Amino acid sequence: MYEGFEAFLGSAIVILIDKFKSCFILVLMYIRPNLDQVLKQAVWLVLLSALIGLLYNLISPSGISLLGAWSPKILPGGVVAPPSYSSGEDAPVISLPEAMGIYNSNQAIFLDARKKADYLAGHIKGALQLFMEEFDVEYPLVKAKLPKEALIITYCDGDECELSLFLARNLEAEGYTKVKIFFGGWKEWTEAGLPAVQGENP
Amino acid sequence: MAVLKGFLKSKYLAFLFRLILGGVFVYASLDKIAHPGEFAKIVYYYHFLPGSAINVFAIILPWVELLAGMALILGLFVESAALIIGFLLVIFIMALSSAVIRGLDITCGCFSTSPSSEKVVWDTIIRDLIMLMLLVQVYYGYGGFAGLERLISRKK
Repeated sequence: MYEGFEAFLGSAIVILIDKFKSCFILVLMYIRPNLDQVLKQAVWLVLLSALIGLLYNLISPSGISLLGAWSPKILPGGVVAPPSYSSGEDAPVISLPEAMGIYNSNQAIFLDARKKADYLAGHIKGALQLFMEEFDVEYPLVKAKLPKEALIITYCDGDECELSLFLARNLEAEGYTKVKIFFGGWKEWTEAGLPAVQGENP
Repeated sequence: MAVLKGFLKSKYLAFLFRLILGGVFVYASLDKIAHPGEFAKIVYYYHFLPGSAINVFAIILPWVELLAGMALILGLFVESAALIIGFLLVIFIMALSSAVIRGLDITCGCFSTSPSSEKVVWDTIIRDLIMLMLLVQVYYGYGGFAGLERLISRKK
């Protein structure tokens, strides 16, 4: 009986939406008698734009393929990395358990790649901050605290954020050799209830 | 009511809003047309479209913005262009809201494809809603005023 009611409700909603739609179109046509023509022109305008766009993409040097590789990369250990991560060339990644192990053994410097406001709102306890997009300005300020041979773990928001990846690339370009990326980031860290603090101090 | 009707039916306001909205959309299309790869990446981070549709969307959308924006400025197929841009704005508002509600920390991709450009926040959505309102005025107030369309048909 319950199923019957659900089906009735479903079809009633469908009928209502249908009625509403036809009413809406009628009102539009009453206000604009040539709505039919306007809609037709709109479709042609979109098709023309699509054609020009596809042709331009074909001849433009900055053109892209029609199908992109847009799924996040699942790396060994279950780490989810953004599509721009390249396993061969970029710094190695660590999973949440690995990050926890390194954190507890105090072997590494955690480096927050997010902007200052995010760092102040909450960060991994002990982590230093270096906003990736202001690298040239902020790196000299923290340089003294980052020995070249130290193990550095970069992180950002999580959710396939890229700041940690770009920060790792910048650090490697500066001559750091032991950089690792924790893609789980702030999100996984707080979800696991691990040590975190707010404010200026690491 | 009379004030509202006067507002909706004002051809001078429609002319002004046409230029503003057309200018905004033409401007918004340029950086995306120049950097389709970066724009596709921004679309991807919205997690709003299936992966197979992202590149085609990133290739075509800026051109729809450009042509519809130019049509508004020139006064050609104004009602059609207004419908298209209204449809785009509705899609943008849905995508932006879903990003804000899910708490995604992503760049807007509205006017620039640079990763350090503006982020998606509620203000972005309000801006789009205001543009949608101006667009309704253009749709009802235009009536052929200061449009290339009328000039061409008059010559015949």
